Amino acid sequence: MADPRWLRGRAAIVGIGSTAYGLRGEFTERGELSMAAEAVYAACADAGIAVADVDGWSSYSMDSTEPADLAHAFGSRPVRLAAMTHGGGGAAMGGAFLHAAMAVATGQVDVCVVYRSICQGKLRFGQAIAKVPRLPAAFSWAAPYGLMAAGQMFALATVRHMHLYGTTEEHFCRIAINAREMAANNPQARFREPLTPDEYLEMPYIYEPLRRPDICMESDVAVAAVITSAERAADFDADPVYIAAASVGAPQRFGQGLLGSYNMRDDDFASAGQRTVAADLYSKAGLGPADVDVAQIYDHFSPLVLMGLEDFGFCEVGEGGPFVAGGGVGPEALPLNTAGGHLAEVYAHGMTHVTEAVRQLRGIAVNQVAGAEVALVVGGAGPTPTSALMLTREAP
Amino acid sequence: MPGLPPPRLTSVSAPYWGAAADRRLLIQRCGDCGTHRHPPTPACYACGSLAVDWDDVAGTGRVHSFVWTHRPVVAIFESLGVYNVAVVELDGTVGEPVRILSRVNDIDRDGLVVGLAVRVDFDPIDDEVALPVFVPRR
Repeated sequence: MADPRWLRGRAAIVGIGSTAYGLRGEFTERGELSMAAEAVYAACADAGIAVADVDGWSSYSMDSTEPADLAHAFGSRPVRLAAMTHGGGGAAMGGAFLHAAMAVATGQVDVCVVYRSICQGKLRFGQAIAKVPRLPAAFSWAAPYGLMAAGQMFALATVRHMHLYGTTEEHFCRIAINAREMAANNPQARFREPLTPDEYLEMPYIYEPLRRPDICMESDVAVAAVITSAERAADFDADPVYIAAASVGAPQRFGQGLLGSYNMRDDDFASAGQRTVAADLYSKAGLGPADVDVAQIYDHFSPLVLMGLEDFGFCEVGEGGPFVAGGGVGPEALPLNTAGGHLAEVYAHGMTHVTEAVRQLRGIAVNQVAGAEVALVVGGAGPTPTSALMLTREAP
Repeated sequence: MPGLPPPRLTSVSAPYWGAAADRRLLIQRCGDCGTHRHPPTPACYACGSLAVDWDDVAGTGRVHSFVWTHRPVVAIFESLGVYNVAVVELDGTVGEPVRILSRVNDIDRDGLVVGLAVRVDFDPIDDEVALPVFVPRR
């Protein structure tokens, strides 16, 4: 059998770019294609190339912008890859990078763009479900009971985690507070005001036990990255960041997981569903949690970050709460979501976690981790597949 | 509860919702190895068989998890006030635990806890379809 570790370090991110970070609905009129074009243009400019030089395209989450439209608009080289990784929200983000890395490392493609463009102002997730004339079959098990918002779904995992392990609201508010602290130095971030535990606990519940700061705010944004082979990486303007590993996956029978089946295996119910991805990623990268200098963990809902820290081995299963309450994350420990993350910077389906990891490894981040060599990026918890990336400053 | 969207019946799910209208909880079961599964799927996860059977189950179980919604995102839910959605794990099924997403009626916020013993009840939507719901088992 071929060795999955073969791909290690054979592809690099050589450009990143984005639109401005819009509020939900701010760019509705402009639309996803126009925003995707701006983000791709910016990423290519960062790499020092024209979009015309791109011959591969990779996205996820059924992005509404097709490679056909971007390649046509920019007069790009003949398209050699148009890859889509299935799976909702930002869960499959790493899959887009896995496709890109495989394509450039094996010579199928010279320069591949990964992109995601979202206008979330058209309809909120729950409203969209409620307004369709015929309920999608997959939601027939949830919507008739009033379960329509992602926050409700993730609260189910949270309540179970609290029951099994004694996790508390004071534990996961630390994730929200960390996001605010990191966002304070980031002029692009949405929520930069400090937050204290007392202020947090006085706020009303939205989806008990989740409060406003535990929940990411939907946004209008597009983000892109340029991927090429390690051999070609020196030909571009930006300092390359190497993809040590990219993994997608989910446990057996995880199904739509927290987004609709609730019949995953018992051990996986109160988890981020990321244990198989973590094992795969660490094995392929030849790196483990102790090697990670900075972590960008998808924070759509703060308790899921506790579960992600557990799944990726930064603490034992069930110990995520005490781990963060004891100072396990932060600038002096494990620097986490250093631009503010989805809770406080912008909600971009995982792509801004990638761009922040790249900035950290280039040494230009707003909350720069001194000497950062290894960055972990974790995609969204929820459905199948979820995903992760291990990025390094030096070629591994 | 009025205002909520009714389930969309498909060829694979119609027996479940139709049985509920007759106050029966019907769970899919493999026609070959007898393993229960939910939500309904086209194949058995245990043995791979396509043979579908259905089984009347007792409808007792325990609350696996729950959420109280205080601020619904959809306007039609506002009339519901603070309401719960619960995952119930059924007793006595074959295979890995079978869980149903539902709600617990006749309960207040202090009473709804993980592990609470419940039994199935049915909230009719119309003559053809009812929602399986749960009530505390006392």
